[in-house]
Amino acid sequence: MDFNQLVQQLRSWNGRRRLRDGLLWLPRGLLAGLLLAVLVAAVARFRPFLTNEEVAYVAVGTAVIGLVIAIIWLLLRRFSLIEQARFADSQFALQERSSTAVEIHSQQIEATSTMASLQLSDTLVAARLVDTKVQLPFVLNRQDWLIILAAVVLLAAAVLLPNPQESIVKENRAVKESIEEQIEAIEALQEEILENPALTEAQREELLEPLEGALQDLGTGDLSREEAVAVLSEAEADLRELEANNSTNSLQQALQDAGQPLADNEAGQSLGQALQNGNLAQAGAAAAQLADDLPQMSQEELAQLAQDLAQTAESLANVDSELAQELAQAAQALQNGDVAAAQQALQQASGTLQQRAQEGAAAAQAGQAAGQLNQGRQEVAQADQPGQGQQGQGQQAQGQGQGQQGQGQGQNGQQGQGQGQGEGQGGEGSGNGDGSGSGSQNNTGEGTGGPGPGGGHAENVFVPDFVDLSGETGVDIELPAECLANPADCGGLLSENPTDFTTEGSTIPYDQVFGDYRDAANEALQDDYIPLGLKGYIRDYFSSLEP
Amino acid sequence: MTNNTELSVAEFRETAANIEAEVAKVIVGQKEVVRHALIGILSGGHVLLEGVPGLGKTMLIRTLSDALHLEFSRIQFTPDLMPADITGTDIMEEVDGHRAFRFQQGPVFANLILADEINRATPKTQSAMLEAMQEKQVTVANQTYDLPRPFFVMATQNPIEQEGTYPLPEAQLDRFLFKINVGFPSADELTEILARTTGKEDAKAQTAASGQNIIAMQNLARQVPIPSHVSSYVSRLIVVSHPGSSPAPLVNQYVRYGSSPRGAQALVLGAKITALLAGRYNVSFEDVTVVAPAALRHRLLLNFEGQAEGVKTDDVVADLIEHVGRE
Repeated sequence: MDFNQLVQQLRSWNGRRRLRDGLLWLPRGLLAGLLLAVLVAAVARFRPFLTNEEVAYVAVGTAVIGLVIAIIWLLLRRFSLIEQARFADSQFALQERSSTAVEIHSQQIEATSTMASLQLSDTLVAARLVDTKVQLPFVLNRQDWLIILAAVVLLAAAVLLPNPQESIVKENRAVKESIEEQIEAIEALQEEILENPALTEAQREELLEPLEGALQDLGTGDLSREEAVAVLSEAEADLRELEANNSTNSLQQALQDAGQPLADNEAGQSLGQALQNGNLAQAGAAAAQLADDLPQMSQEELAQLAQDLAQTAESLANVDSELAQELAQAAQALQNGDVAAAQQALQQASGTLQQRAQEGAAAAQAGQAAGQLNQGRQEVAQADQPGQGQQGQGQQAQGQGQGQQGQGQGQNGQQGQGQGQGEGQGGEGSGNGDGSGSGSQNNTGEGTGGPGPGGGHAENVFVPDFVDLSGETGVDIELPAECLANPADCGGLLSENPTDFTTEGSTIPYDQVFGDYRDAANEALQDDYIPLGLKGYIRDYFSSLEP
Repeated sequence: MTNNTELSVAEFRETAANIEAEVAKVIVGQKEVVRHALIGILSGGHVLLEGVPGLGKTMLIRTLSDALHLEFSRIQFTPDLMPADITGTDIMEEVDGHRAFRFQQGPVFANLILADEINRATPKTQSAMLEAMQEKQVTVANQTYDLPRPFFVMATQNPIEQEGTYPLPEAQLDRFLFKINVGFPSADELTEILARTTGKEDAKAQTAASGQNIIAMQNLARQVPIPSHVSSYVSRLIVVSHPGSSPAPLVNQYVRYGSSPRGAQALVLGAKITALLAGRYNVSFEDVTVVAPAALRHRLLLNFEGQAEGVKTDDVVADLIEHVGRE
């Protein structure tokens, strides 16, 4: 009897054992994966973190992982010869024959040669009597498979049945994605501001501050939609304030008329035209050049120039007193024949015009940034909302008179310098409004656009006419007592009929009225207690009213 | 021709079967008692039989001595028995006109000693007996005399009669390889006993093995290999028989002191013989559990709570086997 016979027998039994274990543990590996998936699916029903499709992927993935782990474990499990022998003794009731034979052969225990031979023979005889089909059968654990079936059914239900959390998941992800897009957009905006040559360092810092604050807040992560909207809204408000503080709209409007006298003057033509075009930087350069040219001009030319400067200064007196004063000083100096003083005054005016140009650039940049933030805010606010198409931004913030090209999306991306014919179109409404007003720059637009969030348009507002009675004496009228109750019943109070109301002369441009209301609203937003999440809606409302 | 070992193994089983068959001619039933007694003898150890009077304890031992063709000696232990009554003593006799002391051997000088009611003798007398059991020699008047080989002591004691008895101390109980409880026969067995003992003739056992056979069988039994994990199992059984952190709850609750290493020796020797008798050439777990009660019941010292509640050491041994793992 050869010990190798026993070894071969033990290995044969070991192979059958591994196969049996495989049939037992592979389903358990699968079961473990499926149970984990069931747990995940259950959590996904109560917490918004996975969609049904993703739950299905998780189920397949965990099931495969469970199977793989079971396979690896089964493959890595190795049994030494003595372990195989002990298993055989236990499984086949060999009463420690195999393990004794193995230990005698490996000299782990002592035995006489005769006893060892007899013991090995006895072991081999007993081994031949083993019926592995009966004593080591392949069995499937019914309980395991029942649980697998139950898990599969549960997972199928979890995947096929609607999940109330799914919409929340999608919404949260859309909001998060939108926030990340806004972060990228703000970073791009920061780059744009840093590269804008028209801005001073101080202006850049002012413009970047609200953007950096917004970036910091948005970058904290896990912001809700409302919180993100509030962050963007606050930054937008800061930028709007900067825009308003640096606005040169009224100046540019006035320059169109104020520049006319100079434009007709040969010497001041370049200055006048630049003023009419609203190009303050060019006007500043022209003023400086004009100052340099004064000594070469004749007396007639100087006199005419003085007159034209005085007219221009008078036109600007109510709009920009500093610039008007400087131009007036130049005109006065020319009238007095003091060319040097005139040069100095013109140089000061040139500096002022340059400064105004920078302010305008800053305002334009702030407006553009605010418009972009507004767009982003609305994108975040309406992320994953049904039926939301392109959002009508309608932030035609500086659509009047500065000639900025109002884009269909309401972006004030252009700096609006020298583009005096801007024809901003009202942004498209948010799906329920038509918002396609055609607000024009001359403020008499026939805006028929819908009043949606993108419906920027200009209208005329009735304002009682102001009658200037200064210097006039009144006419005493005797009013019969019976007319006191209703003077109109007594006919005309004067010999003339009351003047009929007409559109002309009885209106004040809407955009002039709007500014006051907007300022009041901004002041209220800053000073009064208004919930953070609602401030955006208030700004939206007044933004929608902007001309 | 087969070699000596092979013949011995076959002879071992045949001889053992013959012995049991011969004993069965006289002793009705008590198969387990006979088997354990034979295992004790073949292990080279001494056996303590405990049972109420009239169960055939003395008859069993006497029958075994007949079947084994061993010189038999019976010592009836009484309270007035002296050590010299066991070991022998020097007596003065006149030889050739001279008076000299001659050592007169006591009844202990035999192959198979029946120490009947050993717990009735005084501790001094018990000690003399137990010294002979342990040393297989006696010392009288500074002279040492070897006892014959093989030498077995099969002692009996009555569990009921306690008055006037001197229970064996634990250290001396430990010298017995096995303690065998002799139970009351069943009705059928009792009927058979009546038929055999009240009839015309009494059955008598024939010789089935000699002393030399017994020695050869003892030597062969010691050659049986025991795998390492079974040895470890025996060791664990002995270690956890002590209270403290034993996995067996009855041990922790009722045992004051557990088995000595002699218990492990008794387990292994008894398991080897059990394996041979079963036709195997190695010891298995089952062999150990078969002999465990006989090997350990007298080696577990119960505490007061165990004694007060009447806990049996057999229950504690069963609890041990149940809670000690085989791996």
